[in-house]
Amino acid sequence: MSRKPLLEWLMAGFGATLTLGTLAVVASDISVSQGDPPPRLAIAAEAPQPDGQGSFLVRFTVTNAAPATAAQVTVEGVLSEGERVLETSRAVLDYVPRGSSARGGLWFRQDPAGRLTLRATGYAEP
Amino acid sequence: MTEQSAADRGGNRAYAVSLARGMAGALIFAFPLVMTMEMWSIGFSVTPGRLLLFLVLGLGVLAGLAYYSGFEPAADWLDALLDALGAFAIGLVGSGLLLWLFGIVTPELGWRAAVGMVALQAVPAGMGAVAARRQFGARDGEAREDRAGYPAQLFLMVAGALFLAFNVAPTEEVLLIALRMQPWPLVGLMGLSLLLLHLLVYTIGFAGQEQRPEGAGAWRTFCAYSLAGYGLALAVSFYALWTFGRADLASLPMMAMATVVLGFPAALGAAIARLVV
Repeated sequence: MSRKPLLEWLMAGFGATLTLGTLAVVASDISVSQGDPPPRLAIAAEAPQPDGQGSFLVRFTVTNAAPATAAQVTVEGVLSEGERVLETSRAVLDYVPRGSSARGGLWFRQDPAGRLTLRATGYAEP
Repeated sequence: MTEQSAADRGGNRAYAVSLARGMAGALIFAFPLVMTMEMWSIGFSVTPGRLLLFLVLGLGVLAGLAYYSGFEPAADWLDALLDALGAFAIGLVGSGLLLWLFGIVTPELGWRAAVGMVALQAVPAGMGAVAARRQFGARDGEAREDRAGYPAQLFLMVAGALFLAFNVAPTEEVLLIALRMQPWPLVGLMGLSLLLLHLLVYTIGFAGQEQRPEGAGAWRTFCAYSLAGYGLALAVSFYALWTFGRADLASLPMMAMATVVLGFPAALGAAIARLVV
């Protein structure tokens, strides 16, 4: 029988669409990630929450806008009053993939509201 | 008219059954890699150019497999290409579904990273789809691979080596083993790989190759099949390491050692290609 069932044609079309779409996305990635770009991390902190055990939890989201993945991203939160550093907390995120975000949290013994700065201090290239 | 549409329904049903088989095969072949942690991070940190090359080569391998051993007996290369596209799509859907169910592809993951992660899994999953359609759907008559010539057998060895090597290549263990091995055991591993490859080619029989090729001595068979197969296995191993970025910062001796270590599963894959893919 030389006639192909209709379903086979539908699937072939579906497969071709998915395949070509995937290839197109990956190919467009090539030009985007030219020149070994570094990760570009932005940290957004949420309002501190008392955790009910005498500490305060600050949850944060790290967003990586660059087309390069960062591994072992260290996020440091410094609670300071003027020049004086009151408390420092650190968290390590396994991965912040390219164009993606990852979440974590830092605990502080004092209420950090209004006195907290969060920054990424380092990463590893995967 | 009615007979015609009845025949169409039958054809559609048969094709749907073979699709389901393909999906089952894709999941069976893909799950070890989907459940390997390194594959997730490689998916979003692989160099896009290498990923694209891998996908294009992978499609070629799928088309070749569909041509030589496809379940829907592929009439010609266009047919084989359609089969390959179908198998690749099944691989994408199957591995994407698993990654999503496992909570690895999440909304927080950017869509480009997600596409890379799923696409990397789609090639081995697609090989499962092609293989399952053949294995589960046992049919009478000999598959085309039984009539295949020498180049086709080399191709099947490459496909088998690629599949088994890819199951191990992303893991940290390959480099760790290479670091731990002393030079002499490493040479021994090469000998063992070659020996196993040679024995398996005979005992299991390679595509109607239970006996030596007519008029060919043991020495010639060894060179034409075992030695050639091991060479291909080493090349495939190096390619897999390179694709996964495992080769980038290593020295040449280190790379050679890792290639030999990965060459062991690759040689086994080449030897049993006919059973696996």
